[in-house]
Amino acid sequence: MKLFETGIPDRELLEGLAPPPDRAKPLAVLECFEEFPCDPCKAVCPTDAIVMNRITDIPRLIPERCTGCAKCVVACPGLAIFMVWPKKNLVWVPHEFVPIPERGEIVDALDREGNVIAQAEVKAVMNARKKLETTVVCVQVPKELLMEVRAIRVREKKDARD
Amino acid sequence: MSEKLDVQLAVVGGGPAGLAAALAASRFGLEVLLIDENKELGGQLIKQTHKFFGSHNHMASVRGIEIANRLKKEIRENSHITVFLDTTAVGYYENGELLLYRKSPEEKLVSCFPKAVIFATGARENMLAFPGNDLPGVYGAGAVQTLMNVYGVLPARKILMVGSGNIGLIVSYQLLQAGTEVAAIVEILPWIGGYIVHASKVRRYGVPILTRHTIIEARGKEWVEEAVIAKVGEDFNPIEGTEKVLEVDAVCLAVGLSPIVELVRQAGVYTPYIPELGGLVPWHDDDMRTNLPNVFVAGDLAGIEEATTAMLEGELAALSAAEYFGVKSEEIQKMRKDRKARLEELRASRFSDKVKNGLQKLAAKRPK
Ligand SMILES: Cc1cc2nc3c(=O)[nH]c(=O)nc-3n(C[C@H](O)[C@H](O)[C@H](O)COP(=O)(O)OP(=O)(O)OC[C@H]3O[C@@H](n4cnc5c(N)ncnc54)[C@H](O)[C@@H]3O)c2cc1C
Repeated sequence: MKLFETGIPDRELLEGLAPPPDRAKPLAVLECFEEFPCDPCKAVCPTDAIVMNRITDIPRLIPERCTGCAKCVVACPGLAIFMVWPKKNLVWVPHEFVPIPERGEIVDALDREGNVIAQAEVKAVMNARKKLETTVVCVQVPKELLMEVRAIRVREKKDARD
Repeated sequence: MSEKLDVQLAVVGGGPAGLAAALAASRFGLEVLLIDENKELGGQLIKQTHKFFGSHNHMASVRGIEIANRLKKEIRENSHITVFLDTTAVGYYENGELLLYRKSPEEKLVSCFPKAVIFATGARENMLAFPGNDLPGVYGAGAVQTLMNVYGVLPARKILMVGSGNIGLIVSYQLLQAGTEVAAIVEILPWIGGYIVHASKVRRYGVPILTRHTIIEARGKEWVEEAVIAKVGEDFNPIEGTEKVLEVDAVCLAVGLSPIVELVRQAGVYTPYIPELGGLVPWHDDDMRTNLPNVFVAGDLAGIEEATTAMLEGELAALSAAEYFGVKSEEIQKMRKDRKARLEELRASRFSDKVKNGLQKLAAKRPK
């Protein structure tokens, strides 16, 4: 397993995490692969869709229960939870950088290694103004990149002074 | 000019361990003097802008700085706790004298003979030996964090991080947030030291994490201009021919912490060497009692761990101190049981194996 040497999740770990293409709602994608004491995702889930028996367990998602509310995406201290909705080609990623993009803006979409793999339109921004909360940005990306895009970078704005 | 002061319980160090200790002690009617050398309470917490891990019921997902704010508010509102900021405890003598050097509001030495002391002085960073490590621009991770997160000063434009434990990973992430480019994170071990989610988080923004790599030199005329890294072999020695030169203007060292034991040693607390806990550590039992009946320890001083565990240890130390003063209450036993259960829960993953081994070794060294 390369994950523990590089920080990049191995393909086999990601198998089975993608939502079915016809799912009616977005689905949380938990990219948390290591046992350590942490449970906010489970605690904030309003439908008990995240299962952990002990605080050190790896969280497991029950897709039928997930409503796509994104509460876990916001709560995860490891920024390891995303949300994907194949029907609308949308990905939600946590974003703790300034500037925070605006709806309609085109941003760089990054994969798990930081490569820019697409230009994506921002469709929604959650928690943009809450200082202590993690902002979550929803972007539209090509279907084949739904399980690849895991971060965004706001492009440098051309400063009027340049 | 020196002044004398009457103190029941002194708590030295105002990080999470000291804050929790002071609050818990006051619950049992003890009069507390809380001392910290900084101008603000909170210890390491005031630099932690990331969300904490741990149990949702106990402030996980809350940012460190916010945890500090909550505890500070409780302390301010507590009439049993007197706070001395900008005050360093400079000596603790066998006759029980604790000497304080106050820098403000007026510079002076204050002498007191507290009937009991809880030490929660935290830890200091380890240095690494390599040519050029004395150049300006070679920082400890704590300094980098203080500059960025406390004073709002950007420590570098492009930096090399040495060490992939949680501190190296988190500070790398905070550097990216501040606008510094992180050239790479080097790690001498074959695997990443910290939580993998932290590693994935920085990797996602393009930062390479190079395991089996170390820094061998920092170069520059007046400050760091480049860093040389190399691959290491099974013996951890650099392999010739694998050197790479990175153009950076700073190097950040995140290679471990050691407990600050000078004061407790001065008083005669036994401090065996337990590498798993960070080096020399004050001997203590699981109620945070040392070999001296009126001296207790908590937090990173008692073994390098986490803020979550530091707070629980602080409370356990306070319970022992309350008992020392003859407080008898069922509440003590109840709290003790609860805090110990929580510690055990937090220490259940493989990340705590080292600490648990260390604590076992420490227990075996119980002084006669
Ligand atoms: C980058 C980073 C990220 C971290 N992230 C997490 C996390 O996500 N979750 C978590 O649980 N933990 C985290 N930690 C660990 C946590 O910050 C420490 O374990 C914790 O702060 C230890 O608490 P403490 O009270 O023992 O010591 P400290 O917080 O170090 O406080 C000790 C205080 O004592 C003062 N002091 C020392 N000597 C004297 C003296 N002689 N006189 C007066 N004052 C003195 C110091 O100035 C300091 O203010 C992180 C640490 C770092 C560096």
